[in-house]
Amino acid sequence: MTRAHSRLLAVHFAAAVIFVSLSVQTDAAAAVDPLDARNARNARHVPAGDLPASEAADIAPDADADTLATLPLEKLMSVQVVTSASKFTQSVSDAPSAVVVLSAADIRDFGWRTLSDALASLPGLYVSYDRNYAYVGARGFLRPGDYDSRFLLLIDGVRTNDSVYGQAVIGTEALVDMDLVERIEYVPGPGSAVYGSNALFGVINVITKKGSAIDGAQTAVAVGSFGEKRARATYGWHGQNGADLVLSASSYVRNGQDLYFPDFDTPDQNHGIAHNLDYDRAQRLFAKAAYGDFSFSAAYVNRTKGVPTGSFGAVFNAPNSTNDSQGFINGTFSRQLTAGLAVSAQAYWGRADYRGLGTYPYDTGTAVASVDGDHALWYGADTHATITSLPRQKIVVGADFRRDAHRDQYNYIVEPYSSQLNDKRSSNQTGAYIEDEIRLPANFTLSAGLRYDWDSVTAGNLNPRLALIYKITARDTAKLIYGTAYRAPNAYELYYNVPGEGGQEANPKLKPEHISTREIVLEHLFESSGRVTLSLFQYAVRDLISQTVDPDNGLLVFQNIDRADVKGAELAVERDFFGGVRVRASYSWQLARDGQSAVLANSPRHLAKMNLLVPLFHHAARLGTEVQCTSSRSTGASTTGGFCIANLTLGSSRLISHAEVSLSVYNAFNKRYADPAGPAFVQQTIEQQSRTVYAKMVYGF
Amino acid sequence: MAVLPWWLLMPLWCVGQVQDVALKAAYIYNFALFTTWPASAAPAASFNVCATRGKPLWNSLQKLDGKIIDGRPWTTVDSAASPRPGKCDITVLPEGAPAPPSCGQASALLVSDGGLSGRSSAAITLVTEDEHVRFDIDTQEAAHCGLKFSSKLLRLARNVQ
Repeated sequence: MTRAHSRLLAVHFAAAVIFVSLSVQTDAAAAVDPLDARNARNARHVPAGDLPASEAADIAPDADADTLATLPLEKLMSVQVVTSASKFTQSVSDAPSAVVVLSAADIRDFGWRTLSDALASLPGLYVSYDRNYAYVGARGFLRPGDYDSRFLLLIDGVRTNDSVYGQAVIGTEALVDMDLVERIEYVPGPGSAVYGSNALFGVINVITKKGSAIDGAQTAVAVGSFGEKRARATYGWHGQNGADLVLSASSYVRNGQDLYFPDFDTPDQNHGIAHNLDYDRAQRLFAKAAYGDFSFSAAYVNRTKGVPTGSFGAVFNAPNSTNDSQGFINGTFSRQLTAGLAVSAQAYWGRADYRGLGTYPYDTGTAVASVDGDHALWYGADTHATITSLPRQKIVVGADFRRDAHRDQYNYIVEPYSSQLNDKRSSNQTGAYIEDEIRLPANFTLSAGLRYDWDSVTAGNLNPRLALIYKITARDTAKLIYGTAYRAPNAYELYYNVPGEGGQEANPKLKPEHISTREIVLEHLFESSGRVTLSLFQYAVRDLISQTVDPDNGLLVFQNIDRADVKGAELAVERDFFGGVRVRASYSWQLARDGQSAVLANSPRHLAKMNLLVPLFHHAARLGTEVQCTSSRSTGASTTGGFCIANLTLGSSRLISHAEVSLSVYNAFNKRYADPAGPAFVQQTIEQQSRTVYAKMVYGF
Repeated sequence: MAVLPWWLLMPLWCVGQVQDVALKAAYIYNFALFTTWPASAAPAASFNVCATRGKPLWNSLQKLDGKIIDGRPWTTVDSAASPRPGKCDITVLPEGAPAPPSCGQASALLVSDGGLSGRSSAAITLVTEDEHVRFDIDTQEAAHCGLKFSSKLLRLARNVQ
């Protein structure tokens, strides 16, 4: 498919384990040709082959080939295997990074409703939420005021970071319904040597399901605490000629809750209670089609969120809200020209619109309604070739071009109309890259990548990546990785300029920020299944773009003022145990400091996580338990406390025929915890979600 | 803060890969039932299934030894130890292994473990998709080796080309 596929999908995880059979149909296949007739007769000699469906449903999870071979083919096709992300092929060990893969089964088993829920379970990643957007941090690095522009988010290989904020949308504003996700591949570390800007801390590649996996019509409904309701209708079709189609529409609404913020606890601010302002609504459309060498995909999301926090100096408890809509269309052509040469070309178009409605105090002392927004539109093309004809080498060479046709931002007072900002920009970016994976003698592999980018705002950038991989034994691998990455300042950081309280000033002289990283990864594959990975890393960021306050006028402004150094260690384990129990656990220690040796804001020193899946009642049900612990974090002026939260999901595909039902309890022990807020907030911290309950049913026709 | 529990690193209680590979082996057994090989002047006494010793499917294929396919007992043979062409009725390729350029005189049914990508140039490719195992059929590859699949096999395949 696309470049991302050719790179990241080299990361296959092998077929998997766990088994749990399903309600299987009896084998009533009519024998239509002599061979079928012969074997239909043969099958009658095999007692187990005539098992009634109820007995077949009890195929033991440890059934061996001998037992399974007695079942007819139709029954084998209905036997479920849970794709465990711990079942990797050797190619993951060969990847020049500590790649982690999450499967559709993980998404279901742990009740992840958003991409941010899934990412929060990964080693070293943590997520913050400000009651509007979700933000992901890595390696102790999550800059307040940044809209996830330091991660590259790909959906089926399509870059989705927009042309104004460079935002990777991962919360309820995300493009794709989680039910449609086949797997998520997270590649930590700098990715600019392949992908150019934005891939500073990592690349998140979301791969959606094929029509053959959905196979027919499917609906999903869910209800949860605080008026949460979700509904989805999906149709998947696959033809034996390889044609494949997915169509899906989904809707989400959540009333939310009245939230109390002590910083606003005055009689004229409703005693600090934001009333009816935590609502969240989203609609999504998704389409994907493939035939032969061609594939097409398109996605659209429209999300509206109430803003209860009074951020950016808005009047507290006023009807403030944001609306974000985003979409893309992508076409890809891929062909294996010869045994040693594959080519791929991709063309895409995307747009993103943000519109914030807010009430702000005005100079006269009265409150005025104000609209803040942007219009982002971009299109581009990428082409690359994969050459495997040279002995012991795999070379990928490619070039891409992107036109950011609209990087427009506006802000105006509604009544009387007064424009505060009407900034229209556009830019061009182009890049060329080459990667070579060379198998050296004595079990060494060298992976080398180099990419040159040029954009019309910040000129040229050259980024290399080098990984030396040494296979110590068949199951032990050591990787030595060096890489750099950059991020061009986005239009918001460069040009956003609104005077007055809560306003911001432009800084068109911003330069790109750069990161250089050194990492050692040791990986051991267990004999039976799973792996343990130890990673030691050091990241250095220079010309860091940081939001700060201009002392001359009190306005927020982005400047290349800082540098940061991060060092740390990460230990991660994935294992399958007896009876289908699966565990994924990790511990990360990191120390992220700025140029003055002060610990960065929103940077936890410790992260510990565990995801445990336990089959219940002879595999009739599953209990997914998730525990995530985060140590204290600086907010700049104060500190948030450390916390552990637990999420539980009980699911079954046996309770109702053709249906998957689940019940989730998030923050099961009702832990009170808060995330650092950032300079746009009066609050130092934003309190996070209390315990919620969520029930869901997916029904396939 | 919690540190990784010690038992995560212990080799005890671990489940092997049997379930996944067992299902694939059962598929391959069914492929044998629903495939017609060209008539051979001197067929081997056993139905030889060649696979790579030490690869994931090996143990599961061996569990089927002795089952009768068209009057001959299923016998799992190590490809590396017995590479002579013509001795394999089925050749099972592990994931990522390239298919041999031609079946020549061998007339072996090539079955490839395609993992998640499902990419291979074998006559039948096993693929794991959305928690189920599926298979793709390349009839041209099969015809090249003189093999014929039953209509049932063709009907149940995900892709037929």
